[in-house]
Amino acid sequence: MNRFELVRAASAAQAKELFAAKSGAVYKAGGVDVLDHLKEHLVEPPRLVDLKTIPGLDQIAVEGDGSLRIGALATLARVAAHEGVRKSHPALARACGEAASPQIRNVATLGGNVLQRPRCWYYRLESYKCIKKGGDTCYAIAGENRYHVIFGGGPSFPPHPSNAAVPLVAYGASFVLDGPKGPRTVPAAEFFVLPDKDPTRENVLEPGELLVEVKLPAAKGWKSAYYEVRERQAFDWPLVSAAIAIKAEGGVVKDARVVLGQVAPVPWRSQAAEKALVGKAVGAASAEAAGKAAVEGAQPMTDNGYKVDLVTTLVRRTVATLA
Amino acid sequence: MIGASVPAAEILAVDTSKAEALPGVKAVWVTDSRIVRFAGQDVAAVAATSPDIARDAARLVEVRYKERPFAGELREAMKKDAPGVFFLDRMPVPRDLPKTGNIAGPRVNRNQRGDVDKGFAEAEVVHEGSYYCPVHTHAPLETHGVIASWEGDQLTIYASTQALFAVREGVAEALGVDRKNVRVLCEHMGGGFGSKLGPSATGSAFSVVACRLSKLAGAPVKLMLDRQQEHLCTGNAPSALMTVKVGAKKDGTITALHYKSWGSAGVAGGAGTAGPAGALHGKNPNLKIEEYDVFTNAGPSAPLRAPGHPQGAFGLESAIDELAEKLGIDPLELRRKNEASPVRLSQYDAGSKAIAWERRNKKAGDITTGSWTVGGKGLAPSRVRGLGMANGNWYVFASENTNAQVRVHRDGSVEVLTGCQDIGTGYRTAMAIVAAEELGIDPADVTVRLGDTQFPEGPGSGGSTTLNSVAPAVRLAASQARVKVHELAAAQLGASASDLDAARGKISVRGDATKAVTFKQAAARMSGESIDCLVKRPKQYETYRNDLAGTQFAEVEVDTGTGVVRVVKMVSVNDCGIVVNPLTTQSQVIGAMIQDASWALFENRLLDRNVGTMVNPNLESYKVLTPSDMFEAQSILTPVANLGNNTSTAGIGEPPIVPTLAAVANAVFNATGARIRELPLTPDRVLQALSEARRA
Repeated sequence: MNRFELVRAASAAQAKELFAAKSGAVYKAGGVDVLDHLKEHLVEPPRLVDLKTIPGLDQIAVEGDGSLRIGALATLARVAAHEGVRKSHPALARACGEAASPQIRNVATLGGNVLQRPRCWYYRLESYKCIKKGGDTCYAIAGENRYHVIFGGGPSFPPHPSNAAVPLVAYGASFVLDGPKGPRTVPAAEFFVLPDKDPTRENVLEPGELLVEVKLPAAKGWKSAYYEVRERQAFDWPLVSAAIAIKAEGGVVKDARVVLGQVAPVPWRSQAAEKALVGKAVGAASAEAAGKAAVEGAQPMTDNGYKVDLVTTLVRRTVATLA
Repeated sequence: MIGASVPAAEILAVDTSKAEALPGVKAVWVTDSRIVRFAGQDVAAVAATSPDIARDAARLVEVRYKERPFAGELREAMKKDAPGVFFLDRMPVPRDLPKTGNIAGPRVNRNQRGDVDKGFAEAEVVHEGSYYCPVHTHAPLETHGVIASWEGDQLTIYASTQALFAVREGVAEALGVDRKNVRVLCEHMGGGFGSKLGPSATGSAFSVVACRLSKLAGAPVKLMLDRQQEHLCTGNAPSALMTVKVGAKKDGTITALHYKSWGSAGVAGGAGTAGPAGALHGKNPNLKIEEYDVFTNAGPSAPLRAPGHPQGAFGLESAIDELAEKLGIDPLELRRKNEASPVRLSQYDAGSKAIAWERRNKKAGDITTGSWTVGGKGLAPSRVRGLGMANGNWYVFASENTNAQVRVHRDGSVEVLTGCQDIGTGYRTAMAIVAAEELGIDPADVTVRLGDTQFPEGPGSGGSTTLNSVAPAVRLAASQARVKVHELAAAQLGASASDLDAARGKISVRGDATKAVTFKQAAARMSGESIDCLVKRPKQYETYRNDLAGTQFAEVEVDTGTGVVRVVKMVSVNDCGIVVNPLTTQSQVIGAMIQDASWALFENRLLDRNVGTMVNPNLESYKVLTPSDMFEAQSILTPVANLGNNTSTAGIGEPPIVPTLAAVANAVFNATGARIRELPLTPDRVLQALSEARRA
């Protein structure tokens, strides 16, 4: 890796200053994804601005109205183990708890998980000058695409890697950002962007902008669950994941959120599956219908058709657990 | 090291000027070769005062290639219009083999017998199937590497190796120096699995390069390959495409087997897989074997724990399972009926009892016909279980080029000196046990000095040979030392040396335990400082028996909705002669099951079909089994004496890895009714096979 200086920020404001003072600087939270990028020369920053030294950004708070505020520096392990999160937003706790390995969950942060770059093998190897790295080709199209997307692809096709982002979109979370132009709040559903406009980015974060906090509305009246399918039982990215939240009255679904992971360049909300649930009783029939609806419009590549079957099964099973 | 970034090319120029100009760079090496045949092939190397500087310098080496079309994976390379990896007359295979395109063969197999046409004519049921294994890499945690250091003309090499003397001889020859001036050390090694048997690696000359760099730099050089290089140029297990045709009478009597295999060892030959086909189901009178090597623009293979055998057993034993299904006969019964080995017949009893074979689904894919206490709960209502089995074979190889020395000091302390390396099998402990038993002392009182070419020469640790090569020499040397010590004791006790017994550090007159001296008291009487017994392993009765029997049983759970397969339990039954150390022996067997289960479920070296370079040269997407994927692993040993040497020992590192791929795949069939003929058993393939089975 290239040489860089590590500077430690004492506050978000100072972090922004340290970032702005050095062209090409990169923020570092847990450091898991940044280190991978440095080692493979995917980024070569002259300066890393360490955010871990900022006090207070790792707090997890349950507000009086049942809403949650989670500092972006809270580790995945802490989010997964937090009683309040487990109780009110179990899909998020589970998604954080299933990620990677215990060792990584103890250092990786919620913010870093949400902002990590795709795991596409072409992107991750320096030798492939792919479109995500500013080249002109997505090697996955005609190449090895068994782990790539079945929705929303083009011109690049890597799945969004974040486990946690999937339930965050399902819960209608919003991200508190703080950048050179000051703070702003962006709904999670609008934060992630498809590659059609700019394949080198996965979200609307501006240069120098920080993700400082994740806000989750109260889940009162909602039941939710998150499941994923992996090849290995640990230390593996999911093939497909699903976060589903349902609001039911008298056994009938009034509102639903179905969000899929690892199938699109963003956490993929399936409104067809939601429609299949609303107005129906939660049970085997609606689970089946939602599973089928969730794959409407899927466009598998040469080697990832199995993901269509996985989505159907996973949505059906996840809905069934909410009955 | 800097490896080629493309799979097939002519090297036009290598410019190292920028690298050499980097402060801290002390030496640079560039290959003489101009033809690149695989991505990762040695191109250049730099040595610098720190690993960081060396890595930076390596990135400054500029290589210009004229790229050529490449032949990627096995089945692509077999096509008529595939680009040729070699000119036909340059293929690294025997001259007399037929050659077309990238294919050389068939090789004649010495186990062929009878007339398969006649055998198939006699058959009442015939099964023919095609099976495929991808390339696996060795993926040891410790990558290949050396430290090379010169003092004058004396070269010392600390190597991560399975074969100290191969490093010494290979490096001495490459550098044109005397062997006497080269010393190689490696006491313990962080994993090799067969890839560390040569001077460097099958696809790299890094050891020689490190020695040259060290000479140029005038300083010791440490050269460890990185993880990516480890996948590309240090060897792998060949991919294999196998077609198996097998015929039988309705009662299960096999009448003919025709086994064909096309294996690819990348740019190397030797991708045969017919070992199991030649050895198993020995009652079958008609056997034809045809093996072909297919060349691809990929790193050369290296021996990987029973080379070619797991692949071959996957093809053969899957086909036998399919035959059993067609015949409507229990696959265990079918194997019993055609079994020629009395050892394996007894292993069937032990293994089937341990796995509770009677639980299996009588009808594949229908768990109501089996006996299961689990399933149907939790998130996966479509969880099913099944049992499968498969056989394996291995051999008793031993190296006569083996010496060992036992030294008893005047104070009674004992050393065993052996040039062999302990590759993680517990070899050091085993040698202490053998020497101690012979001398009648406690193993803890024997110090085993190993891993140094200055000690008596021993074999490379490949082919499961180390124990049964060295243990007989150690026993013989210890026996000679014992005679000398007992002569000293006999004088003290006023008895004849031949009337003495030795146990737990005491030497006593047979029949009268009161007349005794300690081992130390006897040793104290020696003239001189030590009794030294150096022996060369005598040729013993090697030809008496050369086959090792093994069989394996697997229980799997399959989620039919997601295609995720988990191994629940595996039982491995093996013959390795007299067991020296049960703990480390069982550990080898369990380790083999784990590694092979990892191949069955996950591992797959994947080359991009358009670019020809590996897309998963890491341990993230080249997936190796994790502790969470672990299963209950049971080892049953069926010791059979008389393995052709004075300790009746045989190696166990390889035999238990042979049957696993097929045992797991056969268990998946029993669980689901879906036959998967291509590995690994990942959800995409399992779902595909399930959907085909439903349509059928």
